[in-house]
Amino acid sequence: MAKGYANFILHIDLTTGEAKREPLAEELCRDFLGGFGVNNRLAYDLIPPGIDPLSPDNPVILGAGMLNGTQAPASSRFFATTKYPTTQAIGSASGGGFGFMLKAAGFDHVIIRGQASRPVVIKIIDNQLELENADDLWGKDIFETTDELWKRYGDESQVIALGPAGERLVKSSFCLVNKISTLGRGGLGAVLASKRVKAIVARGEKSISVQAPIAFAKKADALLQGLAGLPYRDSWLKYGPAVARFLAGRKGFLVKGFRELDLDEGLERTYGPEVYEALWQVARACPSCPVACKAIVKLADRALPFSAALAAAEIWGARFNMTSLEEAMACRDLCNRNGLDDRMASGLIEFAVDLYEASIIKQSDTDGMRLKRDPETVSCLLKMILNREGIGDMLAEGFGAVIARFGPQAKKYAVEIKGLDPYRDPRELFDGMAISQAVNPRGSYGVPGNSPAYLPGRKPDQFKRYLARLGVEENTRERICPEDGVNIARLTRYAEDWYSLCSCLGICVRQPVTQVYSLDDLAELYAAASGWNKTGQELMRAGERAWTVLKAANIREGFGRQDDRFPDVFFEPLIAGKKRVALRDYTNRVLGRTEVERLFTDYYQERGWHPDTGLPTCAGLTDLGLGHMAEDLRRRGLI
Amino acid sequence: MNSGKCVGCLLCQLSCSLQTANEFSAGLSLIRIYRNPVGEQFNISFAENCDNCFVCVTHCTYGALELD
Repeated sequence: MAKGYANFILHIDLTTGEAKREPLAEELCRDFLGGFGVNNRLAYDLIPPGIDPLSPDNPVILGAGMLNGTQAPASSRFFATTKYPTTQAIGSASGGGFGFMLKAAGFDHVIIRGQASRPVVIKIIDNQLELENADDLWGKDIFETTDELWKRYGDESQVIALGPAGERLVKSSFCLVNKISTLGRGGLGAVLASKRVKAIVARGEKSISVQAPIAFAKKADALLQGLAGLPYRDSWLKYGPAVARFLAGRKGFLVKGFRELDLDEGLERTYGPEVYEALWQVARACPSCPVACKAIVKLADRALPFSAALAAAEIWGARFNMTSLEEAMACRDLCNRNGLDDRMASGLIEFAVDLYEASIIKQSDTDGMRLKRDPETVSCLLKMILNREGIGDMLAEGFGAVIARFGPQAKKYAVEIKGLDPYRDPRELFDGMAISQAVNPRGSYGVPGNSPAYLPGRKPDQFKRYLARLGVEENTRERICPEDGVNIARLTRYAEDWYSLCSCLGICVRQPVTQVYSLDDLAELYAAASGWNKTGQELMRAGERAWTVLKAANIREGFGRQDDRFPDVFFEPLIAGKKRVALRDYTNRVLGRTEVERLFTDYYQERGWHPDTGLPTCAGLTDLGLGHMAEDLRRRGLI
Repeated sequence: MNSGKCVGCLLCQLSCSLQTANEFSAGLSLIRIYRNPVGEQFNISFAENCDNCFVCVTHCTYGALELD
């Protein structure tokens, strides 16, 4: 039995109600480590190419990161892999918590297939699976559902739940873990609801043993000291990821709907840190995390859990001219309770307003309602999306459905990448996230490209030091970071491999964690946990392998270079008072479409992928030990 | 002990179980963190056989467990 693992996969067939325990193959652990990697590898075999995401045959694969349940700081990320309805792409979404308790319940991975005849709660407690009737929970929101399940199964249980948005198969529905950690941007709520799963509960008492406990604790303690001692930690605990803006002294940080950059600081007075401090009560952490990014916030005399709470300012406040941060956070709370991805919902509502202003959507399409960039329109359309009423029914289907209804003239107003609202406006900051959101096989998700570029103004030497911590060789570091700047596209390949490796192990990739952990740290923890010695380079190679499998799975779904793109609006300047802010690279060179395409080519080349197609080569896949996937893709005429 | 400052990171439980049982397990930990649904807070409790080694205190970075 491999150390550090629970060593079993649980197969659940909801149609028959049958379950099977399968030993976790050691080869799978050695090649793909766990979490993201093992999930992706399983997905390649288990997700039939071209499947309808809401079909019973589209599996949902849950996977705990290899270090979940240990004392390694910030080691709580776990993954939900499926084909997502918003993007029609296979993706591995991450959440915090749950994984450690899944391992304590006896399993590293769970594969959920089929469709139950009635709503169920999947209950995995102490090695036993039960499918409990959930008729009484269907229709309840995520908070009500989770509170009820904690009452039934104990408050130490970890709960993944979906809300009414998922039940109504809203394509941009997601789940929450323990009411606070978002999981499954792109439609996990709808996928689980299509199987008639309302919630998944895990609890157990099984121990996780590691090969060398003393060495493991020593390394974990050193990392804990490093994280707890970060000079900006107190600010981070309060503001979460939004702290980067304040640290970098970036005034005018808010982009209003991919159109306008606020420079007068008026929005900061409405939504800024001082306002937020009056609402903030206490931080909330995922298990093992000393740099919590979640919080309990007081809103209308209620204590409410939020992940990255200040994001409400840009998601709702600035976009729709809300008069207070509380008003913006109330929108997020409504989305959270109902299991609706608020970022995506705000993008769809803005798309509808844009089309209305362009007279493409008319009052006859909105039952007489005038669509404006205001809170009242948001309130009405959110309810209509959640209830699938009127135009809300179409918005619940996503950007593609709106374009299909209103034709090509609507398409140019759609600000989306692979069907998802973009993560980052690159005109505001052209960092690794800006690149990664376009090339990520899963769709618009920028976190894998997180790097020091997240904080503007970093110098080439700082990028070199970052790449050195990731184990990138000196000649590569010099090539990517010459004297006059840094090639963010080439750097993104290594940021993504790091993300992938951390995701296999279950380590968080928030900025403070990435700043403290090094590749050597991961190698030491991995060896002390598993007893298997792998060099840092071998671990990064495993990260690359896990990422490439996700790419390969999505090539089979028909994705290619044409899908890795920026929306048209990114090539128009942002309005910033009397100024215009054009798309520029990290070194401030103005970029047009040709230059952006060249950057994407740089990224593919750095990955060793074909520069024209943007796809891995047969030789590259074979070198990674993925020869059978190369053969599969070649046989299908895809590479 | 200031449970109002507890953020639910469970590093106290994890470090305790490794110290006492050489494994990671909430069940083997002598300190337990329970969810208090009122106000979204946590409660902290110690087992009777806790020997006050304070490994939990040294792993609490949020000020919920501190020595006078």
